[in-house]
Amino acid sequence: MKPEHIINCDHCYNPIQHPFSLGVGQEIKHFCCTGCLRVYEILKKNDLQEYYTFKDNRDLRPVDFKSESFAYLDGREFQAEFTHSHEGMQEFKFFIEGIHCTACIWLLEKLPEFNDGILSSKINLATNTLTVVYDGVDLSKIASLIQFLGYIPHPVLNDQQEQAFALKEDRKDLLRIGVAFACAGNIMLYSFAIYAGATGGFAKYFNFFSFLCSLPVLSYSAYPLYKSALASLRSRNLSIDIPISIALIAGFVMGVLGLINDMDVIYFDTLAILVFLLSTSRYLLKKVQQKTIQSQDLMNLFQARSARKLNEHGDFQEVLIKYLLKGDRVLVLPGELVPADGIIVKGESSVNNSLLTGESLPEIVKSGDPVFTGAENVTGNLEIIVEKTYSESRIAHILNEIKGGQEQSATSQFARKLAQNFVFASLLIGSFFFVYFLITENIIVAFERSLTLLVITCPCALGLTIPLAFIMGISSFAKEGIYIRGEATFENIINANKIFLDKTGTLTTGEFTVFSDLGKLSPKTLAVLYSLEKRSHHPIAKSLIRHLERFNISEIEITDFQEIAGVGVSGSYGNDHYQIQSSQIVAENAYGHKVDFIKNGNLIHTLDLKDEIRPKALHVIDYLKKIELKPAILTGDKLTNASWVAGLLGVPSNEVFADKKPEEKNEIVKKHAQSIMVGDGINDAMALKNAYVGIAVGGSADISLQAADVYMSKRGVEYLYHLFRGTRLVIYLIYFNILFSLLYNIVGVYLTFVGIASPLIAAILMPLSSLTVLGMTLFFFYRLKKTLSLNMI
Amino acid sequence: MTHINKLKKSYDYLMEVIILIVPFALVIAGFFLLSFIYAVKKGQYDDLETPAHKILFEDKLKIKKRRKEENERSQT
Repeated sequence: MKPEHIINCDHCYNPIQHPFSLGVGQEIKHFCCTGCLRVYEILKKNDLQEYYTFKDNRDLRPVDFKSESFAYLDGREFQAEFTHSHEGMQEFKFFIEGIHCTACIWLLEKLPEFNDGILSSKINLATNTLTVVYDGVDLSKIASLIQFLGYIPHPVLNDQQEQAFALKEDRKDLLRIGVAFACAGNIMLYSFAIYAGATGGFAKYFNFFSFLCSLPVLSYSAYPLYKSALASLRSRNLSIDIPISIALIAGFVMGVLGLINDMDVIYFDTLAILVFLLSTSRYLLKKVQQKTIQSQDLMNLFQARSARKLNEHGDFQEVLIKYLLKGDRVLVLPGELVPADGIIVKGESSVNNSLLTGESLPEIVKSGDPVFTGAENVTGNLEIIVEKTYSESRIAHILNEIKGGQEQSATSQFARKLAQNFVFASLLIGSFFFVYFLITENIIVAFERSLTLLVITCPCALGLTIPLAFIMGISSFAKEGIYIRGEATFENIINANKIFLDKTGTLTTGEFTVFSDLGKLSPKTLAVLYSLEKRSHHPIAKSLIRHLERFNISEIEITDFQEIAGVGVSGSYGNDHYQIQSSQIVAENAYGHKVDFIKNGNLIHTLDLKDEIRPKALHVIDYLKKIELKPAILTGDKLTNASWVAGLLGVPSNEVFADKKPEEKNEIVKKHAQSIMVGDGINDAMALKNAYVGIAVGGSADISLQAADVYMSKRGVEYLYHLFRGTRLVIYLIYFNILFSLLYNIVGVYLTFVGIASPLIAAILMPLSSLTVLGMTLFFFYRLKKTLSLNMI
Repeated sequence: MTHINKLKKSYDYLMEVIILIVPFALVIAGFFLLSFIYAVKKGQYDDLETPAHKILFEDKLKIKKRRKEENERSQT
């Protein structure tokens, strides 16, 4: 039961401290903030209160109002590339952040209720996209409306052709599976009658219908199998599709011969089931992969950021970054990212290059200095002249590097190799059987035995359970917020022998923790400190504010506020003048930062700030050593900082690489074959890509996701334990399954050779063995979830 | 003895029905397969997540009105 005095917001259901109340008819509604109040009002005005009946109260944040303008959406260049015209109406796609429940879908699909220009809006929950069709209304208005309702819209490049193609392929796959299933189901019924003992005319009759039903399966449904078998023959590779294709065609010919000559041979059921199982498992695999690789969209998101460009009328107008040209004059406000490489022409500020270089403190820049794309402007307004267009910029260069390496196939090397050997062996033994029995017996026995062998050794463990184990592995990790791209990653993680860890944000929290006792200061002094820092965008200021918030301070009026880049902030309260600046006396080997708080020229307190080590980092480093992964620290930060962390975590000092630029990090990682790189941000992207296994950590790194093999949405080194332990278990499962199917196959080959196994027995044994491995795999993942949650350190 | 023969004969008659039933069953199976193909081609399998949430929604107000207008326009 809820205590009665706690009021919950009527929009977001969060508990409220200072309610905003609104009388609605007889009752009074309470809201936690003006944001929620406004959303409630607009829903009421448009008669859409039904929203609240669909809504559940999970995971909803209070509506956060950012007055972002979407003016760049109305630019002509933007519209030409991003919108899609259809019979005089425009179609546009948004990626929507913040969809959590049924009510969100309901509300977003009601957009036409708010504005007559919007003709339809459709949500696709699988991709989190909203497609709007509109006519005679500005796109920026639609975006603002979505934002007004409490969601964050991002434009998505609407590639009609590519999407239509993918959709068509998808439907074709489904149709192939559907046809295979329908036909295989019917064939099973007919075969059942024959197995049950139907003879003579009836047997022939049922066999004929089996033949009829197998036609679409073997031609239409199995088409991709033949195609890939042919392709692998052409490239002189042995894929499992080759023996499967041979078995399908030979089995069909044999079956038809048997049908004509009234022989007791039934293959159609085996073949149809085989095709159905194979195409289903491949389809599922493809689906899971598609779902995990949605990072493509994120690439578009980054390019879709906007910049303020000076237009011919002398105003700053918002345009997309990619439409900036050389020589354009751009305004960058504090807290924004620099949109293009360029030279500062007006203003003075400090910029945070941590995205690019990994350095944790901002650099001071003034007129005439160069700034680079992706750097964060911290203190003052900057006006820059664009030197390089987006496509030529340093960041685009890094992104292109990453993209180049992506085409390589990500399927498991190990599984492929194994399958090749498997295929080679079964083809070899098959032809041996054929020759042997041709000499000792007759052609019919020879044909039958070798066919039985091909069916019985049909690499179902490989064709079905290995992909399945990977799918289940990938999706159970995805549920924990760990996204693994490609099957090869599993093996590479096991094979690696060295691990490079980025310091800031991975081993440490990435936020400065205050290590001074502020309780000694008077509440008034604290309030001054808080109010001064509140107006700064500096990372240290942000950390200080976070620390001060637990003292329950309210902001006070500061006059003469001044922020000097690289020095600190100052301001007056009453008759006193206060300064906060970085300490003049810094010990040589000290870790962290010292900040002086000065009142009227007298030092009242020195604040001690440190980037704190994550609580579980030590355990994880110990675990890494146990599984024979040598840990090393690779960072763009200063050596003193890196050594301090290394010392605490027990990383040997010759394994500390500090003060490294992205390019240097890349070189170091490249030098060590079979090394894992763990990092975040653009500064690590190149190294992540070139590492044997790249692991991107944390939410901000939309670009790292493009480069890395693994992406962990939760920050913190502790999830590495999850990842390494889990991948090991999945690989063990696969070894076990392979062992089982090898055993089964050896027995099968023997039984076929001595003639105990007929094609009928092969046809029963084959699905049975598949079911066994399938069952083992499913049971394993059921257990895996429990094991992982129990072993969480 | 004749009694048993008679029974066997009627059993054979019964089984012959299968010759009719099997193609008939196949026709029914074909009907369901065709409706599956129709559903796939119409895009009913394209998004399997969103519609589950929409089951209780009702079109109303302007959307409904607009759809009605569109229908009337297409009819005339």
